[in-house]
Amino acid sequence: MRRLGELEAEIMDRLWAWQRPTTVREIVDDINEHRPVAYTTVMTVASILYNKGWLLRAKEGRAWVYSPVRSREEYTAALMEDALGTSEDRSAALTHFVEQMGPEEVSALRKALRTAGRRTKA
Amino acid sequence: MSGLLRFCGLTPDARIPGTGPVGVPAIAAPASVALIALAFFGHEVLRARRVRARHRSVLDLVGRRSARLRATVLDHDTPAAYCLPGRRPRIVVSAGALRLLSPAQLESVLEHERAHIAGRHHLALAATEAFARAFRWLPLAREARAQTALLLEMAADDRALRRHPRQALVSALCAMAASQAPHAPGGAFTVGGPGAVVRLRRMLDARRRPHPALCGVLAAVAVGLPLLPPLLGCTPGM
Repeated sequence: MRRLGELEAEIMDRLWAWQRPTTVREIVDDINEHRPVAYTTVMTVASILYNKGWLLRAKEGRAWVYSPVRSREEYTAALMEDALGTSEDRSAALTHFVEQMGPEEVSALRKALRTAGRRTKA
Repeated sequence: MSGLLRFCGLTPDARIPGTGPVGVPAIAAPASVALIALAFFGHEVLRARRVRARHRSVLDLVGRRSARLRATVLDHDTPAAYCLPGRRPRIVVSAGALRLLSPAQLESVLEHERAHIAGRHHLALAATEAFARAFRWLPLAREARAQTALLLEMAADDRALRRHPRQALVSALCAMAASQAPHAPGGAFTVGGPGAVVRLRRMLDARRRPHPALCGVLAAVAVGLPLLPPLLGCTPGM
C-alpha cells in the first residue's frame, strides 16, 4: 500500500514536467505504464491537491483540467529561504548544519583551519 | 516534589509552623512560575511542530527522496543541509551541497544531521526557546537559547566524528560556510556565525576525551550540589 503522499508527489511530478493543463485521464494513463492505479483514486487525490491549494482547475468539456499553482522552482526557493533562516518566520524548528555567516567570520574560519594545518604538519 | 515536601514535614494542607497564612503563597508563587514555564514549553513544542509539518508537506512533494543517502534532495544551487526532527523526520540536502561536498564530507554532514534527530535536540531547543519567550527581559534567557543551540551542534559534531574522519567534517563545515556567505542577502547575517568558528576550533583541538565515568561523576556533582542546602536544611534534627 503506497502512501497518499507518494501519489500526490507522482501527480505533481507529471504536472510540473508537462507544463500544460492536464486531465486526470492523462495522468492515470501515464502512471499505469509503470503500475496499476484506479482512475477514481487519482481523481480523489487531484481534488485533495486542489483543496490544499497546490493545483488550479478549470472545466474543459466534461472533464476538469489541472495545472500547478506555482512552479517547482518557486516552492523549492521558498523552502530554502525557510531552511536558511532568511524567511520571516525564522524559528528553532529547523536546525541547519551551518548558519549563514559574514565574510569576516568565513576568513576567521579559514585562518583557524590554516593554523591547524600547520600544526599537524609541524 | 511532594515526597520531598512530606520529607520536610510539609503536606499540602499543613502550614509551615510559625509562618501562618504565608505558607500557601510561599508554595503557590514558585508553582505558578513553573506552570508558566511549562505552558510556554508546550506552546513552543506545538508551534515548532506546526512549522515543521508545513515545511515537510511541501518538501515531500518538491524534493526527491534518495534511498542511498537516506535523505531528501532539494534541487537548489545554494549548498545547504538541515533536518526536520520529530516524529516523521527528514534530512534534507540541496543539489548545491551534493556538488560541493565529496562523498566522505557528505556522509559526515548527514551523520551530523542524523545525530540531531536521534538525540531529539529539537526538544532542548524548544525548551530554551520557551524559556527565552517566557522570561524575555532576562539576558540569561536569550543567552541560554544561543548557547544551547551551539552546544547541540557540538553534540552532533561529536557523534558524526565517532564514525567519520575529523578531516571530512571539518572541511565540509568550511566549504559549506564559505559558499554560503555570498548568498546572504544585504549583509543581514544571522547570529550563530561565530558558532561555526568555535565548533571548528573545538574539533581541531580535540584532545583525548575524559573517561565516561569521570563525566558521570562531574554531572552528578553539578546536579547534586544545588540540592544539598535544602536537603540539609530539611533533615529532621538538624
